[in-house]
Amino acid sequence: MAYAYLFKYIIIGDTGVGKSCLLLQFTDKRFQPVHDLTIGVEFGARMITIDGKQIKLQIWDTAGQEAFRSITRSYYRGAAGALLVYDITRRETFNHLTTWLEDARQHSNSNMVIMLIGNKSDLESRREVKKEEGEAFAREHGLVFMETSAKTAANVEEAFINTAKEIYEKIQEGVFDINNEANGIKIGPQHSTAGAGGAGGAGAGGAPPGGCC
Amino acid sequence: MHPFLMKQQMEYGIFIIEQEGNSDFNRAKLMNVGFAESQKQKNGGWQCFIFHDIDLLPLDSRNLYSCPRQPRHMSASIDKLNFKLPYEDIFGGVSAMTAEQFTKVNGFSNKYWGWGGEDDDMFYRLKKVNYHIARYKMSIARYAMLDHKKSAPNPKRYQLLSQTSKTFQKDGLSTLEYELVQDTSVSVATSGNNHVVLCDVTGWAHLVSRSWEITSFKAYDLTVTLGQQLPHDPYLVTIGEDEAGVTPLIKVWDWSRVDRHGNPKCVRTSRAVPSHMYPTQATALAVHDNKNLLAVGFQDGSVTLYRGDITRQRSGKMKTLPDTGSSPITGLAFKGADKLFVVSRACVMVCWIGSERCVVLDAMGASPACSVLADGHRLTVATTNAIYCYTTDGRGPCYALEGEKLRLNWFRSYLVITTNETSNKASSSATTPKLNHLTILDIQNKFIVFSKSFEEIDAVLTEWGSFYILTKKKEMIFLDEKDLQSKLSMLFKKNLYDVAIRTASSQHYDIEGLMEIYKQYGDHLYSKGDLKGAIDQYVKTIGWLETSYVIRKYLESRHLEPLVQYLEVLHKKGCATEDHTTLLLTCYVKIDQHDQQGKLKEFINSKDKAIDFDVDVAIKVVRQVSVDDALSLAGNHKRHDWYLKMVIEDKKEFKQALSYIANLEYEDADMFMKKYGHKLIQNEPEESTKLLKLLCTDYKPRDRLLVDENSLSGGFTEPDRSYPDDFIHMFLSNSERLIDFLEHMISVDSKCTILVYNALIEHYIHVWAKSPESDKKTYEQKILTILKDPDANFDRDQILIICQMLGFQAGILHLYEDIKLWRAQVALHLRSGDAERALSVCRKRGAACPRLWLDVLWAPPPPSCLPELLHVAATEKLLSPIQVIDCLASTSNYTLGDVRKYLMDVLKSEDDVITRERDLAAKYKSEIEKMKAQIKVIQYEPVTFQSSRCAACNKLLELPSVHFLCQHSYHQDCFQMYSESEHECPSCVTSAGRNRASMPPPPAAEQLHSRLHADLDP
Ligand SMILES: Nc1nc2c(ncn2[C@@H]2O[C@H](COP(=O)(O)OP(=O)(O)OP(=O)(O)O)[C@@H](O)[C@H]2O)c(=O)[nH]1
Ligand SMILES: [Mg+2]
Repeated sequence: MAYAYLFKYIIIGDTGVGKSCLLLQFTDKRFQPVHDLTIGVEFGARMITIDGKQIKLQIWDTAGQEAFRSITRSYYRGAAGALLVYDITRRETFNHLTTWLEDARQHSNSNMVIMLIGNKSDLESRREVKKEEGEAFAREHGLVFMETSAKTAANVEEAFINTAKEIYEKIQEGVFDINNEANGIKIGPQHSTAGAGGAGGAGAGGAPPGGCC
Repeated sequence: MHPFLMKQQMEYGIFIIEQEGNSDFNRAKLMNVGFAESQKQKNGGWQCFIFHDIDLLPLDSRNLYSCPRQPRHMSASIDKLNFKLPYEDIFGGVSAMTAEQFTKVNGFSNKYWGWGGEDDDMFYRLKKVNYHIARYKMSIARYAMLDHKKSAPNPKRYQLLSQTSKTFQKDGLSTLEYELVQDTSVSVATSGNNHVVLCDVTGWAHLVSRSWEITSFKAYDLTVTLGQQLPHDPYLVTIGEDEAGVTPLIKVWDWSRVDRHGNPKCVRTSRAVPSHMYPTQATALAVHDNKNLLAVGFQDGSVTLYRGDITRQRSGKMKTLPDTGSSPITGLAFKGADKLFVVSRACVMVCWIGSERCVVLDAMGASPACSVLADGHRLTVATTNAIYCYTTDGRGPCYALEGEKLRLNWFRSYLVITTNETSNKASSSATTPKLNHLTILDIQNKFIVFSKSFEEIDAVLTEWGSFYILTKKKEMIFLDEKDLQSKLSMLFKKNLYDVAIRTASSQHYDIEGLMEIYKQYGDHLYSKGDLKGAIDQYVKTIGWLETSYVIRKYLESRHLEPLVQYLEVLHKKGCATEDHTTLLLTCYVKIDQHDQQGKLKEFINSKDKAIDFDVDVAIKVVRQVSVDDALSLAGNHKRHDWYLKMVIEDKKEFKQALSYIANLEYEDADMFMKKYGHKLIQNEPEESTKLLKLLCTDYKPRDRLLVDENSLSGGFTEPDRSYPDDFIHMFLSNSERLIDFLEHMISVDSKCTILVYNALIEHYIHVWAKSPESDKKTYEQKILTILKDPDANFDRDQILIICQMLGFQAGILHLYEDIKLWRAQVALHLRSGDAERALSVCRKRGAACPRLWLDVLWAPPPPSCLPELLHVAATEKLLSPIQVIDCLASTSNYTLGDVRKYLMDVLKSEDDVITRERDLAAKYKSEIEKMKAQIKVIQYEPVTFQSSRCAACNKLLELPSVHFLCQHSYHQDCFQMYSESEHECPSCVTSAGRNRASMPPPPAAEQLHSRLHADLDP
């Protein structure tokens, strides 16, 4: 399907916090109760509409386990947005946020929009991290914050779409260089001519032309 | 040999030992070398050895290549020797010995250079240690011998033989010395078009067919480095070297054709590196299936692309692609006909063939053979820590898999990954053989389907629908893919149901099979106590699995919530039966009882009908639990019948029922009044009657606007109305209400049916009968008005019966009058002793029905009535006087005085009659006498026909003429003219005939006439 923009997202956070479940809920509107450990990096995509524009989200769901860190790191680059996820029922996943954040800042481009997500909000009874703590952490590090539940789908749409909105605003403000694909943003096929006008012949990084004679 | 040995289903290896240099050959020593070399494999695992001349081929597959207890001489019957055994002790050609036998005799001698003797030497050795030679029958041990040049025989052989038995322990395996000059190893393994191609470092290519026929040919003088067999054509593309240090050559072989040496035909040879460039080693090769594209990658990072028919010498163009970097190219793969994936040690790229432009997809490279095009469109690249996928757009997902990757292959939907086994054991010294690990990954289902260590792997081949692994030790290992069924059962055993489901659905497993998996998964989760998880699986089986299977399970364990979930889905899918609804509701009730979740209420009030259920069943169930809930359920779903039934039977709220009915549409209201009217009238007579009145006149649901749209728009519809008849029986004994109702009906509509009138009258009479004297009059009046009403439509007979039963005289009389039953009227009067009224009836009706008088007479009436009666009886002659007397005599209370006048009158009139009769008798007598005299005259006196004139024309008679006794005569002509009958006189007939026209002539008269005629006509 034709889109105006393509945004690349990455989902990061400790293992078992529900990254894959968030993605599945967002793309398939399903919930998977068994923990299907992600091994490596998985991929999902969905179309959304912002400001009347079709935007394709290309989402990379990474493995949270320490052993896979070197692989997942290579996916940071070229992401416009990141969902940094912790599990509100396990404090250690919250404690690891700083490491994750450092990692993300170090390996991604500086403009990447990071959304902090406290997942499993449906398990109120087992909550270990207060909502206020999440809010505070987000404020301190300049992140957007939201509590979600991949199980009940609460706030899942919002998390992905708000991130997209943020990115979209940054584009409007001219913060992102949309012609550099390394920023995780790609202009849709119908916009490419107009968009490429500014950065004539971006070189190897440019989108391949649709076809050659 | 391969097909022959495979047929015998042996595990085998063939060792070809060649001697270096040009000196005389030493067959025996080479055999020893072969034995020694083979012992290096399988940890000395080879146990049986067939020492084989290369010029012999077995002809009979019953000739088993195995080792019996004694050494076996195999080639007993050779075609070139006329299938005859040359001498008894021969042991040459092909012979079989076990490792034990061979070592016991210290192997072959090492001393026989040139042809002959060494086999006899072995025979002596065996004999010395007491073995003897076994052989198959001549018909089985048959061999063909290939033509070849004969070498010169060894002149010293007899001398050597004579020493054998003494020296064999000092000459043989124990003293074997040799130098291994070269061992070949496979450098290229490729397959396609139903063939496997193996090329070795010595420049040989071996083409293996499905039946393991091997065609070997020397493809290059030095070595083969790269090769690719096309999948659908008999073309093999190779890169190799004919001369050291010179540009590698690309050769294309068409093995469907042969050259003059009988080898596959080489249809093209060209330099891999363009002549203007510095020669460098070719490191990667890709040939497009369309035979028009060929790419070669080089050590220096350049990639050359050839376009045009690759099977022709010198055709097409050659181009070197730009921007491919400078690190060695390790992999090339065409994606369609317009893109080429290029993998170097430093990066992954995609090149657009048309525009000759290359784009880096990832700054991460791979080793040779570690990239493969999966599914024909995704490039998979194996690195030390993971397997990455690429599309032409960029990097895709990855799968983490640790280990130094050696090889990546694609088979069906599997990724076959060969890694270097890193044994971290301390003892991993040089002695332990190097191991490789083979992992087979089902990419789609993210599942490792096979994982095992092997000795160093040289190649992985995928052809003929299976895998073959070729180890460095030149062992070929065959891996067979299990069929889906056994795969699934293995997964079940490991309780990997979700993988099983994914696998099954990705391989388009039939739906029933899938359902069976869901069921098993459900069973498994259930047995583990995960009842909720199990139900999720069971839910998927809806429509296939017997619902009772699941329900019983959960009922037994009394876990209602999962059961409810199952049942709800069942209903949503429309697969639920009544029993399911019942069960679901029962569950709701149970759950509600337990903890007030209000599930039932929620269910009842769900108007959107999210759950498709049988409302009637639901009401039935809920009714047993809570009538109020059932009522609201019935109300919500407009089940009026249920509603009313419950209101009336369970709640006994008759008023409520009535007002409910009053709100219904006419048809329903009518129906339900008919159904429940009885009960309602019994309990709420007044209200019910009111409603009925409405129903039978012009009913409208109560909550409906008085003027509806229809009538506003001018449309007029005949109002629906019920027939009062249908309701009459409901009033039963409540005559008062019924009367009220019926009176209303009659007043509204005079055209009521018989039934209505009958009922009304009947009940009037009932009321009349019961009411006190004072009221009787009013009812009598009412009844009579109806009875007299000419419009009133009632069944007289029936009403009569009722009147009679209840003694309503006024009615009876009226009815008798109506139906002219005067006798009954009279009888009634007489019975009630009212003779006067009876008489009055007689007076009125006596004319029409004289019997009435007699009835009164027979009553008997009081004497005062007698005179009138007797008078009538006498005048009307109703009864003979004797009978009258008889009648009166039956009662004793009459006096003679009462009857005297009557008797007198009677006698006088009798007397009159007698005199009148007498006179008449005399008159008749005289008339008879007169007649008699007349007859006599006719009988005895002659008759003269005197008339002279014709009675008809009054002219003189002429013959012929006709005469009649009556003295009339006619001309015959006249007679015939006038007469109607030839027997009658026309004159007399005119007077007498008229009478006859009205009545037929008496037969006697006719006879008389005919006799007369006969007499007269002679
Ligand atoms: N109750 C509840 N459980 C959740 C939620 N999100 C995820 N889970 C559960 O948490 C477990 C882990 O979820 P995953 O999404 O597989 O975890 P992950 O973050 O992808 O883990 P890795 O792939 O190892 O990095 C699963 O068993 C999920 O069912 C949620 O919002 N609520
Ligand atoms: Mg995951």
